[in-house]
Amino acid sequence: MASKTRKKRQGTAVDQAAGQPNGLALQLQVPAKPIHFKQTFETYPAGAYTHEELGLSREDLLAIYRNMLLQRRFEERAAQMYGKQKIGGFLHLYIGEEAVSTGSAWSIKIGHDSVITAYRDHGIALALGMTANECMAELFGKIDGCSRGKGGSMHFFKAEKKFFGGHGIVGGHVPLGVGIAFAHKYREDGGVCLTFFGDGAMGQGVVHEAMNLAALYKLPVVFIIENNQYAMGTAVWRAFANTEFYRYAANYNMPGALVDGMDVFSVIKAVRKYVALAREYQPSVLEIRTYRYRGHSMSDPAKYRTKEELEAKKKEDPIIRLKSYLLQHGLSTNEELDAIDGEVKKEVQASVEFSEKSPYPPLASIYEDVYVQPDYPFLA
Amino acid sequence: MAIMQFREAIRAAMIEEMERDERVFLIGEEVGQYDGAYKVSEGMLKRFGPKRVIDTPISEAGFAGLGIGAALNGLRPIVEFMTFNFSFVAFDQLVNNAAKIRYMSGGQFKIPIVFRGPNGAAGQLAATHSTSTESIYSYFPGLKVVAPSNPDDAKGLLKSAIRDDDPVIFLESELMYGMRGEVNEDPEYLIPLGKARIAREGEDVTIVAHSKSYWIAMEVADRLAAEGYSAEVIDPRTIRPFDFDTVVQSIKKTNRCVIIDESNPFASVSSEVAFQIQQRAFDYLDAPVLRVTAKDTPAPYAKNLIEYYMPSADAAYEACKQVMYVD
Amino acid sequence: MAIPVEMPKMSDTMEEGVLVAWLVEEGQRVSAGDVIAQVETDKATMDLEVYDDGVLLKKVVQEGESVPIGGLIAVLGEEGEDISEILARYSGKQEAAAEQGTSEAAPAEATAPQAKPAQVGDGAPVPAMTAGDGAEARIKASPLARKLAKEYGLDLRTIQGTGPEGRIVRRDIEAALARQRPPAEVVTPTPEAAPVPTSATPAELPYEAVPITPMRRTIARRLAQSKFTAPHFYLTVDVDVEKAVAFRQQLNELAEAQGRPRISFNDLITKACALALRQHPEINASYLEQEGEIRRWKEIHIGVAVALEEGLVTPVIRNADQKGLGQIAEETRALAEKARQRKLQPQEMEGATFTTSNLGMYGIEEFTAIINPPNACILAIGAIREVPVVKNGMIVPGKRMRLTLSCDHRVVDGATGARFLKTVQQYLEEPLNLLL
Repeated sequence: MASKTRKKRQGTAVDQAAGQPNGLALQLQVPAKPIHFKQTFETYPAGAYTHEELGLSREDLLAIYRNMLLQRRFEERAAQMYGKQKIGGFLHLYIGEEAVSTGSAWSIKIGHDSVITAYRDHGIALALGMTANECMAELFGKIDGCSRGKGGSMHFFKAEKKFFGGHGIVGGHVPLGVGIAFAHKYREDGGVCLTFFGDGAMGQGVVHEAMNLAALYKLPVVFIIENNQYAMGTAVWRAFANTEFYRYAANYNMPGALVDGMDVFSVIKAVRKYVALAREYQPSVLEIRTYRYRGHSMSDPAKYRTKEELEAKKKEDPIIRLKSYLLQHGLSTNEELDAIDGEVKKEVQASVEFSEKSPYPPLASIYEDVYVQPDYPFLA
Repeated sequence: MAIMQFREAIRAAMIEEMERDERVFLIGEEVGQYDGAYKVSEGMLKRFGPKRVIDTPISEAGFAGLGIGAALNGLRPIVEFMTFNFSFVAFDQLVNNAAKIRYMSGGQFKIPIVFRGPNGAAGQLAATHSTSTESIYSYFPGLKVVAPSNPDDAKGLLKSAIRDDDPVIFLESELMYGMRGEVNEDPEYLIPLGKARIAREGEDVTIVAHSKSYWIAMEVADRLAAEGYSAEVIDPRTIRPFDFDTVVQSIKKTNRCVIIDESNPFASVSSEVAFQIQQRAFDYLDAPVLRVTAKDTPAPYAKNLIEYYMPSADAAYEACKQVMYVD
Repeated sequence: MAIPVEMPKMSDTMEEGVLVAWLVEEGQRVSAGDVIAQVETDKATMDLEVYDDGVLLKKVVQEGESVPIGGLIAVLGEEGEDISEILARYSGKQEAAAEQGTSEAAPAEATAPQAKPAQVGDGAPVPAMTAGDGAEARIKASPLARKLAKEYGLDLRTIQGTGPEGRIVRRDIEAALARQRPPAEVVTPTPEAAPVPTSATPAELPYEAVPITPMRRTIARRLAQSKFTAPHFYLTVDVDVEKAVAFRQQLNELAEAQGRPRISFNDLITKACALALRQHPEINASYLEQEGEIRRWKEIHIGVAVALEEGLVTPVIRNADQKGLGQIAEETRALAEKARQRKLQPQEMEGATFTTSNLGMYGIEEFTAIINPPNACILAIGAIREVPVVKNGMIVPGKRMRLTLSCDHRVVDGATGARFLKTVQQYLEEPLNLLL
């Protein structure tokens, strides 16, 4: 089915009248009977999929395990470095949400497909294959950082991975994801854009504008709502009249689905499906429910939730879940997995040493990267 | 050369650049089927089709952000705001995304995008539809801001803006769209951004004025000439980067300066120009720099009030006499 | 090996934290990730985690104590380990800890990719504002006026400002300069007169106030600029004009017969200068400091000073070297007439490459003129004098005229000027050459 429809749609590119085919006028007659509206949303629960049905080899699983662990160890060390004042500004940790980033990255063609996200961006950066060195050096504000020390924790970027950044304004980057997808379609290069944002962004008008435009122009984008259930300290039920975010897809005539983000298999299963749809120019909305173990930022003691809630969630830990799966299915041993952990810790420790040694950006570089124009006359 | 309206010059620039570069496209409200709210893009949908001339819903933040995303991913969008008053609902997109992503990414990305549309007051449109935005957008490093005063400059500057690899805010005016003038038809006719034009040479006072205010400056210069005083009129054309060198050179000759700027006065273009003059040409000033701006109020509706609100030729003429110390 | 537990930075604005509660006792074993205490920061009460495994050997801080970031809170290690070294290390460090953030020195000063900002102020000594009745208030002067006063060594206290609230502006400086060296004549090439004492005008004397017209202001500005920036020197020659007088008479007889305008002696000099300039292009030049060059003009345009009631103007005869005497005479007369009627167009007064000034009609025998900028030279023409001359051993009446060339030494040296003046003299002494 896929290849046929794709061919047909390529011809029209951006269709002005996508909202109303052929400029058909709205139905003027209001019907006498009540209108029933129905839409089905797919669900991707935890523990429902095996590696075989996802076509993942033992090596794939170990790589996925290693990648999630890298994010975890990287951020634990980053927290320590923040305490030691090696890292300034804000530091928002992703710990607990690793299955979302790793599962998504495993479902696209990295470097061909595009990714954009909000400020909690260390996880997806490492999932896309950015090195611990360039990420840690950026946190240290050093010249070898992925953004040359100009972006910091919230603003990781990597052009060669088509990673269009971490962004600091809640929801502000979501229309950029739509524009990135627009360019993929304009060029007909087959690429899609994964556009991540948190539950808090659903309160921003521009997110809804972006969804409407994507659906109207039939753009290759997957909106991924990483619902970790707290926008800073505000629980979703305190901020939204409708907390079933996947349902918003229906408002924009898009398919929507609900995914358990504590199981990397569920994430892979869902993201693969909707990336494939996007390649046929059908955008969609995935709500992935996940949980952050840490506060919103380093200064947040997270008093708005109970210890019990946190402990319960930690039992669903995506890394422990995969570890158990590997052991239960005889795919690995404790020794092998501990060895991976050791390697990862070394890699992260090395990134700290790398970042310590990397120089600060030269002061003259403050005037670099503002404009492409090389001789811009800055005011002194 | 040909005689063209301002709107036709803008259209010619867009058509030439779209024919030259497949990556250039136009997006905005009513730019396609309606042929443009002010008929700037008339006929372009027919010429380029819906892939490259794209109508949007009333969704400025959405389509401005879409344009920036497309620019990040290799295209060269022209985003039309029906007026720049509506750009304020897309403010975050312009000032955080267009202006700063290149910087925050350590130079990994460029954002070749033009935001264009009419700016400033256009008669009795009242407060929300009359804002002059040049000083607001010029505040942000990472953006460039252009505000031409005539059809020829409009064409040459817009073509340069479209070819520029940095984001450009291109400010037009409803009141000038019908203005006619000689326009260079050479498809390679480009006016560099950041270069002022000395529209008229003179000895006694320098008048700096852009966009509509430029025409007030020319009128004042004529009046002064009739009385034996010669005014030098400088049209900066680009607000960011601003060609301070040309202005300072002129003041070294005339020792006096009047700035006409239809923005509200506080923290406006005229504020910065006056500051730069006192910094760079202090010892050449024989009088304080004066400016003529809109009143320090929102734009009113009533005919007499809006006329009183706008900078006038009379006020500019008086300011020139004042800095020349003549009655 | 014992491990120090330091006060971490727990928020972006935190500087110190108060240890509010210990959750672990000394001697208790902890592992990485365990919370050992609670710390109150400027924002909230936070859990203090340890990043290492070990036994809590010592609580260094009591509950309620405040510790700066980096300060020692506790020591972890193995039972029985010696921790005195750590305690000693931190006891010195504790005070310095608060300053630790600045210890990683920033690199050298930033350099903007362009010129440094200009200094604030004009560099001129500005008396401080005084409170009170303002009797001794600072002198109000425009920045330009201050700069000019400094350049010309004028004391601002002696100058009356005419700007708003008595501000001294450019025109006041120019007026003060003009008082110092009042022009004897009002011509762009103004003849110099003896300097007058620089004391301020006594205000008590009765006087008539004459407003400064724009023309007067222009004269004042341009001549002050010329006189005080171009170093002048002067060359005078006494020309035998007997043949020239006779030559002119012949020409005018012809002109009258043909109904053409008469040729003045000044026209002969204009033509002589134009032809001489062709031979001496170094005189037909301008010193342009800003452009960093001396320009030798390829065309010869002679400015001729014309006195008016209220000042003077210098209309220009363009390409005078290519024009016949008749045409020069005709144009000069027309321009002078227009000048008297104040109908000269600006372009008719612009672009002179050399200027002449003639006061002969007033009986002035010789004088020196101020160069008309940006010219390199000006020729001051004196009256024709009847003088006894010796000819063939007999004393006979002869006709002589003194020409004085003012030269801008930045462009023209003495010998250069002299050679040019010699050529002018030769043309006037053998006037038939003017027709060639």
